[in-house]
Amino acid sequence: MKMPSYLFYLKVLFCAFVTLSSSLYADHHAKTSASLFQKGDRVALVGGGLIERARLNGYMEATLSKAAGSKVSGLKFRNLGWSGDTVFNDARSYFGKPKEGRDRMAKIIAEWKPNVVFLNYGAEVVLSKGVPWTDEPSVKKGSAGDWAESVDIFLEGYQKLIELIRENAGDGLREIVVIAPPPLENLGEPLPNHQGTNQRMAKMCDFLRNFASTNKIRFVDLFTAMGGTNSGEKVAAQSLTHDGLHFKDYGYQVLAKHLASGLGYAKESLGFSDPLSQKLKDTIVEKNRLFFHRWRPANETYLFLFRKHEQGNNAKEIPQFDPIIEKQEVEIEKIRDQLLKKEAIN
Amino acid sequence: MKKSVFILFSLFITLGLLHAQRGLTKIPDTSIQAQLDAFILPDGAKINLFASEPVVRNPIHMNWDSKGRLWVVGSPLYPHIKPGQEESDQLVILEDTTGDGVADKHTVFADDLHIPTGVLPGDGGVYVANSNDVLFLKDTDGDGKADHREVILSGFGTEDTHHIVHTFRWGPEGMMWLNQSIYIHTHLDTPYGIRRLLGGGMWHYRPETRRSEVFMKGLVNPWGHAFDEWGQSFMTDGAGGQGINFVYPRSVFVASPGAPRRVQGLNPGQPKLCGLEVLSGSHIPEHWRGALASPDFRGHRIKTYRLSDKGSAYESREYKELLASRHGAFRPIDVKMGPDGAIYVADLYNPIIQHGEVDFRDPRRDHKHGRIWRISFPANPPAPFTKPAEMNSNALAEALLFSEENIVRELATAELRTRKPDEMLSALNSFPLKDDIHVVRRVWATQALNQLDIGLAKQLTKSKSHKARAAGLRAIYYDASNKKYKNILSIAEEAVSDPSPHVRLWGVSLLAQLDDPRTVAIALRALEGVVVDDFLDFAVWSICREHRDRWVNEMKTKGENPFDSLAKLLFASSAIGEPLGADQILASIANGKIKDDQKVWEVANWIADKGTPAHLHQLLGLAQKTSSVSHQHAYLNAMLTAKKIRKINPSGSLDSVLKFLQSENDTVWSTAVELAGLWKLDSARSNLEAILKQTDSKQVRKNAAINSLIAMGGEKTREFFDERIQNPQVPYPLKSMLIKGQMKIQPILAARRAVMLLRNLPEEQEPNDLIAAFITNKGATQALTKELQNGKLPEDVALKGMQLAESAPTRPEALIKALQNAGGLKPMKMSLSKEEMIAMIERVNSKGNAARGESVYRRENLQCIACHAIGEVGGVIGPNLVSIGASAPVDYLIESLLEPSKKIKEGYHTNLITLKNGDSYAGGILSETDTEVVIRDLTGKQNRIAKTDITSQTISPVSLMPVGLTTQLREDEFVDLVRFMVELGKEGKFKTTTQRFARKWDVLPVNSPNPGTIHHYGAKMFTQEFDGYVWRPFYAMVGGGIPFEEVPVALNRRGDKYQVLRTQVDVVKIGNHKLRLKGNLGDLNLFLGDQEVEIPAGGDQADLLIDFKKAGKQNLLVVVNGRGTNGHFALEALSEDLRVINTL
Repeated sequence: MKMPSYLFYLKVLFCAFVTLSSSLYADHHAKTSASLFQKGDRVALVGGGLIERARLNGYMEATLSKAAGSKVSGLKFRNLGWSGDTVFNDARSYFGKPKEGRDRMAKIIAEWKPNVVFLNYGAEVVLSKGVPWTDEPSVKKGSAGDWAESVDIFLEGYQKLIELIRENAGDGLREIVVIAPPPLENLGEPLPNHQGTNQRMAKMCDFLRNFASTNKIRFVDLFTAMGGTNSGEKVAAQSLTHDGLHFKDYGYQVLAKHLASGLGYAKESLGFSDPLSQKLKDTIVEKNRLFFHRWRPANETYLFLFRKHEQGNNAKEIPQFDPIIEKQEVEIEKIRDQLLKKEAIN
Repeated sequence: MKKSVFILFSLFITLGLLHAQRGLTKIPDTSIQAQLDAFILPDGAKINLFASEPVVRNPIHMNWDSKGRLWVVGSPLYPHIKPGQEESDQLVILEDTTGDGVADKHTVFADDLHIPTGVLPGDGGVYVANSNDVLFLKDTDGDGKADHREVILSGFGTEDTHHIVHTFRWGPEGMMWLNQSIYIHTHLDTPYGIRRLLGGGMWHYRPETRRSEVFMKGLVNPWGHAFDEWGQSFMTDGAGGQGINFVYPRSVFVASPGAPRRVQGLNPGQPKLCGLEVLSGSHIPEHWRGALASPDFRGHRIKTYRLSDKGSAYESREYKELLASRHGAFRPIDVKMGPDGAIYVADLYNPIIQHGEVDFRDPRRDHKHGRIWRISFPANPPAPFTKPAEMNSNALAEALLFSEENIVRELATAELRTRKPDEMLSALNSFPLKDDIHVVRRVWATQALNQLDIGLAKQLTKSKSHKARAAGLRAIYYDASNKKYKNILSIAEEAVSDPSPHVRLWGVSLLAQLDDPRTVAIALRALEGVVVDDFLDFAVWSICREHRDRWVNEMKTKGENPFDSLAKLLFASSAIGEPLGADQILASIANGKIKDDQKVWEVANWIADKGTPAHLHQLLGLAQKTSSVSHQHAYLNAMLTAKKIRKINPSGSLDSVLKFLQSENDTVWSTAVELAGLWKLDSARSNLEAILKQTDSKQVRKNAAINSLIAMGGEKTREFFDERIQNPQVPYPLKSMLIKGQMKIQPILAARRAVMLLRNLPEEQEPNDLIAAFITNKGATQALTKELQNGKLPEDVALKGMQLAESAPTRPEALIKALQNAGGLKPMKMSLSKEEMIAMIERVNSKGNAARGESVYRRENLQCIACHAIGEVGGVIGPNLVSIGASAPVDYLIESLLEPSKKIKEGYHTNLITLKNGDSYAGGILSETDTEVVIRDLTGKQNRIAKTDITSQTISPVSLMPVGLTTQLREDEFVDLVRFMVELGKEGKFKTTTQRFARKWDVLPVNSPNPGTIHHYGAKMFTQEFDGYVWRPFYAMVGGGIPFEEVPVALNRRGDKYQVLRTQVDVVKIGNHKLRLKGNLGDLNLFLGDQEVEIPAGGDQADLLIDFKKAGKQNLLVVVNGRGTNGHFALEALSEDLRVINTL
């Protein structure tokens, strides 16, 4: 496969950065000292299953909003994760080619107009050795090819995804954060052994770090933070996941802390032992539930797609979720306020 | 006809005023008693209520646990959550603690679910389908309610809430099986990588390894799945209509998106089914055991089927009805055997089903009720049941291996998974095994513990019973890709040459899991030495594709056929659609090694699709050499396809095709002529023009000549066409054909000529063809629209044009308007106001006569039968109407007749393909590859279209059903027609029975030509082979009878009338078989082949014992010879070994 010039550049850079890669939460963003979140930020969480399932326990969002501190009020989050997604947005397409998924991605970004976008991709590539990880016609075959070719396709696709997000988010977009996927846990037989996967994941993490640096965007290395090593050897089985890949509730708490810390926020006081933090998380989960019915409603075939001439009149109900979501967000802000005030007193 | 269009509508308006106060809602009585009173049961059976609302509401799915409790999920939220509504659907556990067959204890295990469509207790908790996710819920503190919730799988699509992940079941091997339907696009993140399933299909999931894989693809709504006692999988479809489907690894069925090939179900023409269970156990009468029961939820009944072995798969025959109901809200959607041996039925309870055609928020939708019914046989004792949860290891092992009650073994399998594997393995090993089936069960038990006894499984593959050998292969199949086991290849290798095609099928399936480079070469052996049916053929075809790189790389490296025969190479190359080895194969045709007709066609088609210009050149040479007309046609047709679809010509000179302009065979001539046009061989021109000038030229030759000249194009063509069109000597039909040709090269001129012609349409000539041609091309439609703006059209011509345009998938609004203006027509009013609708419903209910309606339905000019089947017989273009009355509300039926596009049945959406030249094709996509699409249009014709020619491919909002079909009816006829449809599938005369009537007949048309030997042979004359007999399809009525008066009189000899009908039977066993003939026997003559069958001279019914001396398909001919016979006759097969053939 033809090597695009920027990738070549990346690979040169990669050598230069190898020495740095041991520093745990390297942040190569130009504005290293500035905090990520600002007052009133609209935040989008984008990725595959790791992000999608985060909506069900709320820890990621609750942790980040606590970490942002009392001065940064009015944060709003939208979980746009989609199981099985790729940088070509395969999973977001319904009856069409992955391109339809891309369009759906562009649409939601254009609607939400985020100021901050988190991106988490890469594990799906690492896990698919020798089989295609995308159905995007132009690269499907190559994605099943050798590792180098597969990674090139991935990074090219990632680049385009970022461009798409920039185009559609408009001028308000201030920050993009690339999250390197955490390592997979080896939970022992009969679950699969992920040593080889983690070796590839370590390389993927380096590629992503360089990719972020080239693009001058923030990078959070969850791989190293969660115990991943270059040898891919035994990742301490803390039983953070059900199956090596998918995190349990507790796993998400740990992961969320590392994410906040990787963004330069202090790890202290990010726990959920107090009732108010629990309440914050639960309220977020309910907001996420409502938002899910808003942006990924069931029955799309009838509401918006090729059977809309039959039951499309029911689509009028979908925007009726908006005021309910807003109300829930007021509640979230109230709880967060109480929580942060209380913490300040303590 | 002009007059009748408006009669109906003026009547609507007057009627509309009468009963406006009556509501649309006619909700059935919701009481339990009303439902109990409405059931119809088989002999000896009793039905009782096991549970109902408020405990269970709108139940969707249910399964038992190893404590003998029934877990039920239901969804009052269906079809769509409202803004502000809680996710509040429930999972309830029902228990009959007293053994009286009624649930006396219930526990709400979860009440925060979102349209749960599957439930499966096991592994210490329960798996629940929750729209996007599969959850595992568990009660950790013993209070009977779920307090632990874990997402096991996520990424299931929800594009349609009656398609979402469903039909959970434990397999005997301890995996969880789950299905999804056609609109669902699933993307699972798994620790093994992403797994996607776009469209319908079935998954299996092993909880221990968290591995999910797709087992088969396709089926529209695969809402039923059951394993037979040897562990083979069978599925039903809630929209596909092929009854029982035998499924195996990698098999692909109807509606799988983008599939180039599909396997068929076992019972075409069956109603939509939901759920599937094998009836079993000692409690039910013996004759029911082994039958597969599946609810026909539209028809308010449960159908059953019986399986027998056939080739690599099975044959399925319809058996008796297990249950039926006259209650309009009884919706059986799941059926399960219970621990007590009784049969349990989940009744969704809803007068409205589905939400594609009926509004989400239709007030008639039920969100409150739900019932679980229990069918028992009071004369028999309940089946013995010990809760597997309470068995010690030994008892559990014994139950798994030896229990004769399926339900016990099933629940024991789930229980086994919660026990200590070592203890269970030693218990399982402590029993000596005698029979193959017990060995199979032990292998399953070890697999359910995820500790497959591979030695025993291998041993199984050498069993005496072919079913045990197949079961052994299936067990190994699941674990083969784990690469733990050695020598699997040799097992598969042995299996592909097994005497049983069924075992071969599994041998090939196993091979598909292996990494070895030789898999395809080995799989191809399965095609040798047995009769290869479509199931086995598909499996081998599939592995040739899946493992393509292995054998193709070998062939490319070695430069020779990697297989040991040319036939294998041809099969494999055709499967992947590449011309590998084409030179060798064409050489074999040239030297006469391949000469079989079918093989020659196969090779020619393959070269057409994949050959190079040099290969096509060889075909042109072969065509010259052969004297076989069929072979000539095959080669010419291949070159035509290559030109049309792939735009390529044979290399070298093309002129030799002109030799076929001398052919006497019309097909060969026409194909050659079309080629001459596309290849621009100008020397053919004069010959073609001559055909069009001669008055006695055959229609087919005229058509071909027009196409050819148009393809040649140029000034000469343009001049010739316009001269002919303007020539007053040329008759209308030919002019119309010429204009249709001209339209392709000079649309504006053609439109002008067409309008001129239509303005002076000769008496008795139809304008439809000509107008329709303009509607199918975008440029021509615009030209016609423009032309019409300058002038008038006769009213009736404009009206016909409007009807065509209204039902055109392209919706040419401008043309409709132009036609309206040109004909001075008012807009067609096809919809009814609410009041008119109420009045019409009232009229249907009070005055409609279904019997009269059936004869309206059967009228030739309405064309209902041509597109819609009722049960086994009729067209396949539109939905099968077998139980439409039982499932669809009256207003829906009326609306669908008047405005076909308003509600379009799932799976019957029209695909609309527009080509670069403006032509459009509408219909159903039959298959699709990288290079072409095959679309079946309204007439049933299959059109192959090159993808490179396509500019757009969309789903049309317009139904294929023509608008205004019913406008020719009088109002009372319309009312009768609706009433007939209302009755279809309901208990009574208009429900198809399991009686095996001959339903598909052929008849001879009125005044058929005949050999003129009637005086010599009498009625027997019609058994003679005679070219002039042109048989036309004819269908029996829903009740199985043939109305004499509808059968054309083929011969009227001085008032002595002969009506001739022919049907086919399949003789399974040679010998005497019983047939029942009903009708006025004195007028009937019956022939088997050319032998007359003796029937009693009088009376109106006779059971005939006929000696069938040959097996296989045979003709039965009925000649009605009387003077004005009234009434019906019917022919019914009584003997099991004689089958009526009602499908094409």
